Amino acid sequence: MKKAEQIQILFPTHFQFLYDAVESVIDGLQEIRIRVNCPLIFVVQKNEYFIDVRGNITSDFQKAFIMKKADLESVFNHICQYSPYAYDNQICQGYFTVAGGHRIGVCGQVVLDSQTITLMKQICFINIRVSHEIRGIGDSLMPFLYQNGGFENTLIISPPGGGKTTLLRDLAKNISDGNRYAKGKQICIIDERSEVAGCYMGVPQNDVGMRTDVLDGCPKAIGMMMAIRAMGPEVIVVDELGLEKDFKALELASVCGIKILATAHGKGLEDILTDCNQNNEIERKVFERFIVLSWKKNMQGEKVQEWKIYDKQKKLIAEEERI
Amino acid sequence: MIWIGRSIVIMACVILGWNMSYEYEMAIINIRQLMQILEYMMNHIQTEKDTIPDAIKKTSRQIKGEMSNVLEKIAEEILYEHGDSLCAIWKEQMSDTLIKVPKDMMEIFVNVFDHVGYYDSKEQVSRLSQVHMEMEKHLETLEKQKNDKCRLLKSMWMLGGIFVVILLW
Repeated sequence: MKKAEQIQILFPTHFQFLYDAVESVIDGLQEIRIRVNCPLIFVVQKNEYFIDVRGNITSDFQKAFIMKKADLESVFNHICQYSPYAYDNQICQGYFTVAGGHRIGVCGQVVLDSQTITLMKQICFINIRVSHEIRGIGDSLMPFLYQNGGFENTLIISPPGGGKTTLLRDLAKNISDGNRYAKGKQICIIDERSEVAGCYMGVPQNDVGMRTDVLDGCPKAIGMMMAIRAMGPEVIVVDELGLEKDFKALELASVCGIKILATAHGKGLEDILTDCNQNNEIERKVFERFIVLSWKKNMQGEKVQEWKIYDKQKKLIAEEERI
Repeated sequence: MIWIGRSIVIMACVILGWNMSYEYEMAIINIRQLMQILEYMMNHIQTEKDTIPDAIKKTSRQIKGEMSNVLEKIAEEILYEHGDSLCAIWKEQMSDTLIKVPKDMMEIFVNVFDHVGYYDSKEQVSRLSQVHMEMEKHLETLEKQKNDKCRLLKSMWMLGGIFVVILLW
């Protein structure tokens, strides 16, 4: 199924007027934001557009189609395949994944039971985040991530929206399938938020390689231990390290001889070094390579992504700019 | 020659009587199958927390006959085709099936997904079990009347045949 169809299918019949709009902007479509009594917004290459009742894309707010609560409910039910109960755990976390690996973020009224979210009801805000799998994005980094044919523990650092997960996915695929620097390795992805593999009904919707097992929706710390015991991976891939227990599990995994490919939020290497939890881990020298991603404007005023790769001694070993 | 004609009329009526009683029995079997479909779906929703289309798809693999194809078609339509609501697709496909069950019973079954969108699988299951119970009640009545009705149908048609023969005497 084409990506446009995967998005179109999320809308019930009475939103057919959106189908053409989706089709026309699908290549750059990042988000569809749906809010009660507010205009429907398409975010295309970081620009916002409204959709009028005829399905035309417009920048004019006055012409925008306004979502009623009943409309939003019908869209939500349709996305959930009329079975919100099947997604209750994910909805409590604020998102769920649909076919194609696209993520549906939801907001509404939260029901708490002793500080635990047990239900989210009256969902009035939906954000359809279109999955963008960019293949080959990590190819040029591969030579720096291996030493003597062995993969080096690697941490990708970037601020939110910096492209960590996209890069992580491609690197995982490269390591799993094998490349000119090393043979393919058995990989286990601990995909706590279903972002890396984008599993839908357990099946990865993104290409994560042929030797990759995915532990979907599992907390990282528990998942790493489970993977070590059950799947015997050579490399463990985790997205967005943050909690101390994640790092403890990571340390244990690395002691077991398993290589790690992970990401963490941060503006640069300094952020990681000054962060108390992560600093501990880095001091223990788990990671041997650091890839720092950041966005900047080049001479022509174009937005470019800058990649810097550091080694164990925090010495810059490579850098690259990409539009 | 006349006697041959008379016996053909009587034979035809007897066969029709048998056929009708057979249809009555088949209706009971079909109702049991519809109830079984509901049971399978309830199980999938309860134990595996499957979405309704997934439950329908899995159920289509568990049952045999025409209903299996119908269920598979419904699931495919919901999962991979644009637009229509589950309720509309279910109603359309179920109304088109050739499966023979009493009209009121089919209506209950066709409307089973009028209420969806529950946040708790128990609620969805209880909705299905409500329909299941309604069908069970109907089935009990039909089964109680089965012997009498079948006998009645057979004898009525036979008598009808004899009556026609007497009329044409």
